Amino acid sequence: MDRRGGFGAWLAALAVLVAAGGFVPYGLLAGQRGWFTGLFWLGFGAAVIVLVVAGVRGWRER
Amino acid sequence: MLSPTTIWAAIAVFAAIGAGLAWRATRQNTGTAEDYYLGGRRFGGVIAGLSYAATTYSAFMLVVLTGLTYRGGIGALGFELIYFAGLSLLVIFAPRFWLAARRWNFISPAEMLGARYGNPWVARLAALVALVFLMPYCTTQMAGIGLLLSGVTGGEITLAQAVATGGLLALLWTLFAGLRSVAWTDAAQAVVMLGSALLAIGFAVAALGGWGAFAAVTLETQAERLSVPGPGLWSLGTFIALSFPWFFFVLSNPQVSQRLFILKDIAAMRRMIYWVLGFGLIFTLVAVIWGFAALQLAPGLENTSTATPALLSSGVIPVPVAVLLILGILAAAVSTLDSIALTLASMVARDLMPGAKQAAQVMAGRVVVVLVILFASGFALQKAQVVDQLAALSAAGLIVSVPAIIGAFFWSRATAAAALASMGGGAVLAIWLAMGQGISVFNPVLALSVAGASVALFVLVSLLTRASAKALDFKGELRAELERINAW
Repeated sequence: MDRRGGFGAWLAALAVLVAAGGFVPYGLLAGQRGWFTGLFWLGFGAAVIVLVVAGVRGWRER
Repeated sequence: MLSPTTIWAAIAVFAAIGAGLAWRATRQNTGTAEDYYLGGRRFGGVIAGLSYAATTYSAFMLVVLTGLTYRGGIGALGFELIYFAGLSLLVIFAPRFWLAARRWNFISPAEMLGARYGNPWVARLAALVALVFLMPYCTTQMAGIGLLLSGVTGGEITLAQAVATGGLLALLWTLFAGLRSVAWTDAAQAVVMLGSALLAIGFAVAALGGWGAFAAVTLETQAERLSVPGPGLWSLGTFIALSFPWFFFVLSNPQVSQRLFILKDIAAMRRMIYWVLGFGLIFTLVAVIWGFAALQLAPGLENTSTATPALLSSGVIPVPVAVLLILGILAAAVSTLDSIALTLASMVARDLMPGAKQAAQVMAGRVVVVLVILFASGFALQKAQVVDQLAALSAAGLIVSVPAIIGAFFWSRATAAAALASMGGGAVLAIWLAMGQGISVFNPVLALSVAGASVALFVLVSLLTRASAKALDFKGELRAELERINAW
């Protein structure tokens, strides 16, 4: 049986996402007046779900 | 204020339904330790997912997180979502925990570490670290129940009555049927938590003129709270200090990592993760929106952790919905409390008395459940400062087990001495920094120093010592199984 590929890319995407979760609001969006930070973090939460689903959807009994 | 009679009546109905579930669960018990602590490892994804969600999302959400939003604004959402992002670690570790537990019949996460490193002292120290940092955390759940019930009734329900109620419910749902009743009642409580929170937020936003008006007024009156650092609470340092240890919660907190042992198959595991993700994102958004709604409906609070009681007794939430949400928050606290008590019980039974017979391990666990709940109740009433400090320290303190957990699965060279050094050294450092040097959990120096020291000790001591001959090779022995289920 072959080992499932793509783990490195998935891990890199997770690292970038988590780093962005801190540095975008505290860098690009710091002090902005409006709902931008809230909307960014809403998108962040959705991206976490997409990433996790991508990680577990291949699990199966075989 | 809400009538204490109404609250007591609702709690009585809630307790009766929970008791019914616990009684039914008791009838399915087989009497073995595996059955008592893991429900026979036969849970499907829905019950396991709701139980996981109810365990991980505690009274913290609608009491503390709402208060942090009220005080500091949108940074609270970011902090909680970094924790949420930590659920992605399940992609890597959930199949490994599950496969290892089935193959070697592990019941507690500490037992798994002890076997992996071939040294029972690793299991004992992991259990001790969990006891030191999680028992005070139980106290905060009790205190949350007290704050809520006393707050919404204007003090007519006393702290002692509230704590006794939480303690009795947790005991009732844990003692007789163990995890089976905890998981079933958790699942029911998760539905109450989410359903009541959604209803309450709907009424709060409607009272403010609908979503458009709520957003517009928030933008007009709370603009500073809509970005970070906001009015001052959410500096980058505080954000890192709180978010960093919480990112590893799924690994560091045994009451949730033990949930990975209870699933019947890999499809159930996947379904469990989907339920936790859906529940977590919605519940997080609700808790933060609730905080912003409280700023408009109950402005000017000095103690921001009273935002939820103030909003519930403001008159804009219909009494039945307010009572339902009170039950939801009570459920959140009790479900976390009973899960922690049961996990600590399993650690004492399996890791501190490993040679005991099955019946003795179950009986010892029951005694520990009672002791944990009595401890939490007693210290919630006494408001002991040392317990408050340890509770605040729990996330940063529990992180000391993370290097040993990651090393168990990914580094064959890792040794028992290294696991002992990183957990023991890290825990002592955490307590010394927080309680000896007075470094606050809001200061990133605390969590980063503890994590850094733990990792450094783990790597250094592994390189300097040899693995035990009894150590298991998780990395090598689970490889074929991981390929079989197509996991990374």
